[in-house]
Amino acid sequence: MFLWKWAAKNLLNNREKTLKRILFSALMSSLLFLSVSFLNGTTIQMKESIRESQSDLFITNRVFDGDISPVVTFLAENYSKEMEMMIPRVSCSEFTLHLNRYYTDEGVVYGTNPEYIEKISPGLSWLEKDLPFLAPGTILLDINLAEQLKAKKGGNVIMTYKTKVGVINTKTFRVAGVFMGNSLLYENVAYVNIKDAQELTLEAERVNEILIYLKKGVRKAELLNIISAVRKDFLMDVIIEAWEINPEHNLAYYMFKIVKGFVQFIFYLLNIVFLLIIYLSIQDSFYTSYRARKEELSSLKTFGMKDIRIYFLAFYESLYIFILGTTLGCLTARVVSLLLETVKVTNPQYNALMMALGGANVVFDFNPSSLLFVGGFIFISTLLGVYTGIRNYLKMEVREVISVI
Amino acid sequence: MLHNLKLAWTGFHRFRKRRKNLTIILVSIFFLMCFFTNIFFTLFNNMEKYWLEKVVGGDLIVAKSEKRLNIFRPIEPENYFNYSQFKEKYNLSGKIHSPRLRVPVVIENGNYEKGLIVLGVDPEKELSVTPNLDLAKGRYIKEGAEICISQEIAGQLGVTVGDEVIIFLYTKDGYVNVDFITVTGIIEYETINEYMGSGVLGFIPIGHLRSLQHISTDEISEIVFRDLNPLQKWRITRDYNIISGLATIPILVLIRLFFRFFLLVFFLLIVLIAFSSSYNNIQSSIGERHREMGVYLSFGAQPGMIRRIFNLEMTIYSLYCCLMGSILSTLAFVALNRARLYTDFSPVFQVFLSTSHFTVNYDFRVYLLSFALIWIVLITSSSKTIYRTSQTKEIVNTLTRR
Repeated sequence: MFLWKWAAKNLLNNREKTLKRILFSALMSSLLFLSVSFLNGTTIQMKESIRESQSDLFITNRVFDGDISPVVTFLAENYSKEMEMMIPRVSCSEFTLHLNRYYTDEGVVYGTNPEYIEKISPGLSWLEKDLPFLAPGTILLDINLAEQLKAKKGGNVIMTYKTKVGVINTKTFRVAGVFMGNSLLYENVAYVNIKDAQELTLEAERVNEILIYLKKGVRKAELLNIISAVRKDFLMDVIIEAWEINPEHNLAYYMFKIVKGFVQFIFYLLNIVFLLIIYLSIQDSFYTSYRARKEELSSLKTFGMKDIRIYFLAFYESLYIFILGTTLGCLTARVVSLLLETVKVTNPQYNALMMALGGANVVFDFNPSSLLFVGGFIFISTLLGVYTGIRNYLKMEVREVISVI
Repeated sequence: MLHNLKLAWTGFHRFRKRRKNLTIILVSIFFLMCFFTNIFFTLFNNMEKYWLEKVVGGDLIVAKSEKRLNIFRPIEPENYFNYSQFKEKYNLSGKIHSPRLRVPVVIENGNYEKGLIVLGVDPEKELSVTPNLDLAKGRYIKEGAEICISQEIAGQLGVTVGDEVIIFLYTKDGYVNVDFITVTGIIEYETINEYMGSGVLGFIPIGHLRSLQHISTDEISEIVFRDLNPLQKWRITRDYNIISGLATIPILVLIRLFFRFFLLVFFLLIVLIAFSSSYNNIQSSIGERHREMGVYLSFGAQPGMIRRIFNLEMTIYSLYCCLMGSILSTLAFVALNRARLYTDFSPVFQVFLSTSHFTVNYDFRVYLLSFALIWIVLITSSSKTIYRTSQTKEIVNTLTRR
């Protein structure tokens, strides 16, 4: 207890220096907390983006001309309590889009309803201020398609579709909006109203994909129940995908993990540098401050104070600095993250950034376990710094005494 | 001067061991600076070799109204400009460059059709900016109705070298034009295909593409260049836009953004720590040398001379730290290069590192730059202490204080 009090007194006596050390520790720890919570946030946002885009349970026809409506009826009758919404979708890949002299046949056009657009909107960045409404006769284009076609809001795009019987069907759409999304999920994607898609495919009322969003709180076991019930009755008719059950099998998530691995590598390098800086500065700071207290410590040593007590004294001092510094650092990181969370990727030049961010926003996740993990590393660096700093001081002192003799 | 140098050397030699702590910090900082700067310079260099020399060619000169460009996107005909006039005005003769005409077309072979961007190029000039372009089959275009397409497009259309395909395009005036064209070569983009918009690029001799577009003058959509000097660039940017070649590929924009972010944060922190450490250390070590300064003063030295001696000592000290740091970093690079980091196991790593075999090129300029930075930090952080302690009044006060 005596050493604790003595350490606190020493820190209070050197207020200015102590404040500087605490601020420095706060700066370094806030940078570490920010980088780790940023990496956690990207995963959370990516998962949310995949959920928005691919739903909790995605069901599609096993055969090209199969009918999915019995599955829809079955789910509506048996699992309406678990479901938040069910979105029908028609996908068309054999299409071409024309606008004046420009042409593209890349990607997929989905026929869906406006609710789906509302659902995916949080993860997208629209080039216009207001969220466009997917009315019949309108089309929403991903920035890549818009750039290929040189399309802008209000322009007319001609879509040609070759039906499965070989009929070439054409329809004109007005561009209602252009969006930027995570390229891993929305590259070369366009949305039209489901009725228009059914008209183009010459198959009214036909739907080949169903996206089911489950209510919050529905557990994985219940999801597995739904899947097994559907599989039991419609195994030969449909393909079921629930990405959350095995995220590694989801292509977008797999690609995201690779991109994130690269970002992680850069951030971990940076974190190692931060830790090294903490170590070096603590070492240096304790070395110089103890050197400045040479007379006081020499007197104490003359009266029989052991080296281990000096180590402990420095350790307690560093503990005070560590606790205050990391607490302040954590708070600073939280405030900075709140400011950064207002940032959204809106510049088309930085569209690729969404692949690393997981979506259009900058998201931070202050997960207690990772905060503790980072805190542990800061603590170890501080301890090591204190140890080597004091060891160097004591070595120097012995050398000086020897040189005097 | 030699006398001062001798005194500075003695000072450095005497205090070298006492500054062990600062020496460790400065050597580590020099090592980190050299290590990361060389690694990132190698990555930037690899990117240029891998992406520019294979596909993009270099930086692009486009019309003022084209603010940004994606390599796989068209350019509007209103933004075409005259090559001869440009060449004459900005004196491009002798410079490595290639004029291009970027046109969206549709290629049809039997029942299959595919939209792609074709670049009308002068084959000789184009190969001078993209010397690493790989041909999987056939030969590069020469003249007339010839086209080179990527492996993926060839696969989708079911064509091979020597096949004749139909090309659809709009003329500059907006009419549809159709012609036959022979596939002479199939380009191998390897991993680039997967990450760069499916490699929807084709190459046609510029003269033929102009005739298909019904353009009689030598209009072009862009010029790719490699070696323009800053003055030429400055002159060009008054009338045109210069877009960095690496900024035309979205994935590279992301990679470069992270690399730059890392380097910026890293350098800011490293300078901060170097400054604060050396300030603290030097303050305490020079503060102890009043007696030495008193001796200099009693022998008739002026404060200016004392400052010079200490600055020289700092220079020798920074040289010493940098020498140790450079030995360490060179050893680290040698070890890293001997480890033979192959990236063949994952195409994604190849894209991020822009090479299939990662070796660090250690550049002497990086060592010089790091030394300069350490020296500046050391001199600036010590200047205040040196100035204060070298004042005659200050020394006399300290030495006569009881």
